[in-house]
Amino acid sequence: MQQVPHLQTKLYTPPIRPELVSRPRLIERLNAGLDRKLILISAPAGFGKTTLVSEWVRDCDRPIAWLSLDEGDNDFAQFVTHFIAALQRVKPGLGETVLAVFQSPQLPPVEAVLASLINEIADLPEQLTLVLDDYHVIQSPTNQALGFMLECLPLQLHLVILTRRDPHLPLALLRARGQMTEIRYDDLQFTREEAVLFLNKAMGLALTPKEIALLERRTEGWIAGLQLAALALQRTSPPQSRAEFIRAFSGDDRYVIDFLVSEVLAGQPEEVQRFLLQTAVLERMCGPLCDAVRFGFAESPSSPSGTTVNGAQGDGQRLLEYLDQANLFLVPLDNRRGWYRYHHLFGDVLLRRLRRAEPSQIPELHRRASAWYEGEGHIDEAIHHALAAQDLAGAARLVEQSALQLLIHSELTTLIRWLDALPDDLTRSRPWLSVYSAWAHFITGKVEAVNQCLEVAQRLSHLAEQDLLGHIAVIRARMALADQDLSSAVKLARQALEYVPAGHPVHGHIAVIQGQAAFMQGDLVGASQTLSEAVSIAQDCGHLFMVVDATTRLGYLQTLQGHLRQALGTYQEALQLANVDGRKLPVAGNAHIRMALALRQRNELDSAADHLMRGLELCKLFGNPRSGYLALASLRQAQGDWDGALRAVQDAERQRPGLGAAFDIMGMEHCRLWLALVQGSPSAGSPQPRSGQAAQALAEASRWAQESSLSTDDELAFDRESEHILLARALIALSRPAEATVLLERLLLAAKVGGRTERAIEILVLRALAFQALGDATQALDCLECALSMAEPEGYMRFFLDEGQAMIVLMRQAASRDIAPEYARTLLAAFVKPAREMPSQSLIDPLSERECQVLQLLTTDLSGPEIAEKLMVSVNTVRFHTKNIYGKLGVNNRRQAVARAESLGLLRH
Amino acid sequence: MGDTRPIESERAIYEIRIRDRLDEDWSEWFDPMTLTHTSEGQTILTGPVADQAALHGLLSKISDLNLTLISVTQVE
Repeated sequence: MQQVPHLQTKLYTPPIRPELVSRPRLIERLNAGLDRKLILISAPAGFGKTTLVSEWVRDCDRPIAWLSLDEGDNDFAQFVTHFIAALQRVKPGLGETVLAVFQSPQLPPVEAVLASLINEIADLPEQLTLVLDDYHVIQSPTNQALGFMLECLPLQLHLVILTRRDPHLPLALLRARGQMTEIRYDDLQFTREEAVLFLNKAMGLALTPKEIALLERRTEGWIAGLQLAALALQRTSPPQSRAEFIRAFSGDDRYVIDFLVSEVLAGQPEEVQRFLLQTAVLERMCGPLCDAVRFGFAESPSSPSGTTVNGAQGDGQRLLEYLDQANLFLVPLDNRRGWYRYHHLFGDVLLRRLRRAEPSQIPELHRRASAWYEGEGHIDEAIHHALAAQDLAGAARLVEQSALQLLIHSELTTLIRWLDALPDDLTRSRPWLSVYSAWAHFITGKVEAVNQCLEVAQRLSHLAEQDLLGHIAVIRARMALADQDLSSAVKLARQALEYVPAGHPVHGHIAVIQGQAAFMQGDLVGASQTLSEAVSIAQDCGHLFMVVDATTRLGYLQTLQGHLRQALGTYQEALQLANVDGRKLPVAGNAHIRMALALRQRNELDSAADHLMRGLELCKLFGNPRSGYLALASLRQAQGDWDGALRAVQDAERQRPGLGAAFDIMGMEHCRLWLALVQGSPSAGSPQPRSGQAAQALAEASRWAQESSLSTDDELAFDRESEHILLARALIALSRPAEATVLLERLLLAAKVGGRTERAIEILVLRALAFQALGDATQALDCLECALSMAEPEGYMRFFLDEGQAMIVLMRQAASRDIAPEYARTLLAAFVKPAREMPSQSLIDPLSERECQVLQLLTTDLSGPEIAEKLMVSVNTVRFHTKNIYGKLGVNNRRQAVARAESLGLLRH
Repeated sequence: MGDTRPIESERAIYEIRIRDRLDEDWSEWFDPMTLTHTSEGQTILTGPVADQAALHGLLSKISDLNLTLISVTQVE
C-alpha cells in the first residue's frame, strides 16, 4: 500500500466530499476561463479553492491534469519533472526528452529546457489544462521559470493556479490582454445561500436563518470557519445548547480558529486528540506511518523491516478513517484510503499545540518518521525527517547508504540534491560523504571541487573501510586519464585494486581505465578484453552507467578494427541497455553519436541524422555535447550542407571539454582543417567549391603543416595517427604527393599491424590519390583495389565518396578494368546521386519529422482516415499536421502540397 | 548607482497589528514576537525582525492563518 507516496499523491486530484456544496456560479466562470492562458484562484487558506477546482475538474469535459506543489518544487528539476509527470496523466509520452535531462548532473539553461517542452506542446493537436495547487510555496527560480513559460505559453496549454498569495507573475499584463480569469477572496466567500446549503443540508444542522446569519457574520464567509463551527455544532444536540453555542461564538472576539478548534478538539476522545497532536509532524500520513510515529519501532534503524510494538498496528488506519468520516480536516491523497494529509490550516494549528504542549517530543516523533520511511525505502522523506529531528548523523548515514546505488544508476541529480541538503560541515566530517561528493563533482566536471573532496576524504580515511581508499584512487586515476597522464592513471588503478574485494564496482572502473589506457597505446585487443571485463563486472553489480559506457567504447573499438556491422549491433545493445523505465539514460548519448558516425560511413545518412539528433540532445543535457557537434559537422558535410558543417564546428567550439568524455572524436582544429580540405576538393554532388575556397583551404593546410610539429619522418604512434593521416591529406592538397606516399606507406603498415582496418582503408584511399597525383596509375589502382576489397564486406562508402572528383576518375578506371566492379559501380552511383539536398535549406520553417512522414503519405491515394490509421494517430492529428504542412509550404490543398514538395525535392522516391 | 549599504545592520523592532484576537499561546508560533491585545480586541505582535525576508515570512504566517493584517510599523 505504501508505494511511492510522493509523486502519485502529488498528481492525484483531491476527491469530492459528500457534504460538498456545489457552486455553479464559480464553475461557470471556470468554464468560461478554460480557453484563456491562466485561471488564477487567489485567496487565503480555507476558502475552498482546492474543493472548488476539484469539483470542476471532475465534471469538466476536458481532461485536466493536477499537480499539488510543495517546497520541493522550488528545485527547478523537480518542478519540471512533476510538471511533466502531471501532464503525462492526460498526454502519455509527453516530455520524455526533457525528463532524460534530469537524470543528468548538469542542467542546461532553464530556458532551453522549457523551450524544448513548450515546442513539444506546441506540436500537439489537443488542448491541455494543468492545475497547480498550493502555488504560494513556489519561489524563484521556479516562479521565474513559470513566468517565462507563461510568456511563451503555447495555445494548447492552459494553467490554473491556486494560491494563497498573488504570485509574482506578469498578472497585470495578462489581465490587460484578457488572457486571465481571476477568482478571488470576495468570490470564494460563502454567500448566504451557500451557507444555508452547507449548514442545513450538507451538515444537517437545521439552523434558523438568524443563527446562520450570525455564524456567517462571525466567520465572514470563511469556509474553514463555518466548517469548524458546523463540526462543533454537530455534537451539541439540543437546539437550546446550539443557540447557546452560537451566541457564545458570536459574542466572542477571539480568533475564529482558536475558539473553534478548542471546541472541536474538546469534543473528541482523548485518544483522538493525542493522535492528532502526534501526527501533526507529518506532511503526509498513512496508518502504518502514524503507528510508527506514535509508538516507535521496536528495534534499531539498522534493521528497518520493522513491526510496531504493543499490538497497536492497524489502529492508525482506523483512526485515520475515523477522522476522514468525522470530516476532521483530513484530505485523502489517493483513492485507496492509503495516504492523507491534514488540511493546511488545521495541521498548522495542531502543530502549534504540539509545540506548546510537548516541545521535547517533536525530535523523537520526526526520528520515528524517518526510521519508518527508511524501512519503506523512501529515502527522500527519511532524510527530510532526520534533518527535522536534528539527527545529522542519521541523515548522513541515510545518504551514505544509498549513494552508491544512485551512482550506479546514474541518478546524479538525486545524489547531488541529497548532498546539498546536508550541512557542509557534516559532509566534510564524513569520509564517505566526501567521496560521493567527489564522484558527483567529477561527473559534472568541477575539477577544483573534486580535488578538495578527495583531500578531505583522504584525511578522514582512517575512519572508514579500505574500499574508501579504492574509490579515492579510482577517482584520481580517472582525473589523470582525463589529463592524458597514462602512467599515473594505471598506477593509481593498480593501487585501487589493493583496497577492494572482488566483484566491487571499483573493479569495473579499473577495467574501464585499463581499457582506455590500452586503447590510448593502440592496443585494441587488450582494450577490448578489459572493456568486456568491465561490462561483465558492471553487469554483475548492476552498474548500468558503466555497462552502457563500456559497451559503447567496445563498439568503437570494433569500428576501428573495421567490424562496422558488428559495431552497429553493439551500439544498438548499448542503447537498449540504457532504457530504464521507458526512458533513456543520458549516458546513451554517446552510443547514439557513435552509431550515427558508423551509419554515416555506410552512407546511410537519414538514419545517421536520426541517431545524431537524439544523441546530441542527450549529450547536451549530459553536459558534453562537443563531440556530438563535431560528429554533426561530418554528417552535414556528407549531406552536402557545408554551411551546416561549419556551424556545427562553431557550436562545438563554444562547448567546454567535459571530463571523462569517451574517446573524443577528433580535435576541433583537425575537424575544421579536414572539412576545409574535403570541401576544397571539387566533388560531384556537392556544390562546386566557391571561388577562393580551394585556395583558402590550401593556405590553411600549409600553415597547419608548418605550425604543427608533425613531419613525415616522425616516429609513428597510435595517439597521433589521425593527425598524421591528416598531414598526408594536406601534403596531397599542397601538391607534395611523393612525401605523402612515403608517410602513408608507413602509416599503412602501422595500422595493419595494430589491426586498425578502418584506418587502413582511409590510408589506402589517400595513397591511391597520391599515386594518381604522381601519375602512377598502376600503384593508384592497386591501392584502390585493396581499399575496395577491405571496404566492401562492411559497406564502407564515405571514405571514397568524401574524396570527390579525383576519386570518381579513379573509380571509373577501376570499374573499367574490372577491379571490384560491382562495388565500384555502387559507389559511382552514390557519387552521381549524392546526399540529397537538405530540405531544411529550402524552407524557412522546416518540416518536422512527423510532418515529413505525413507529407510522404499525402502523395499516395490514401484518405485522411487511412493515413491516420497507418500512422496510428487520430484523424484530428493528421488534420493538424496537414494544416501545418500547407502553412509551411504556402499552399492550400493536397495537390498543391505534393507538387510543391516535389519541386523542393522533399519527397523520397 | 545609489547607496548600496545595508539599510539597517541591527535587528529592527517591528510592531504588527492584527484585527483578530489571538490566544496568548500563539506567541510561541510567532517566536520571538511578543503578543499583546488592545482594548478593541486587536492583537499586536512586537519584536525584533532579522531582515526583510524574515518580515515577509512573518507576514506569510499571518496570511496563512487568514488573519486580517491592519498595519506593520518599524518602531525602532
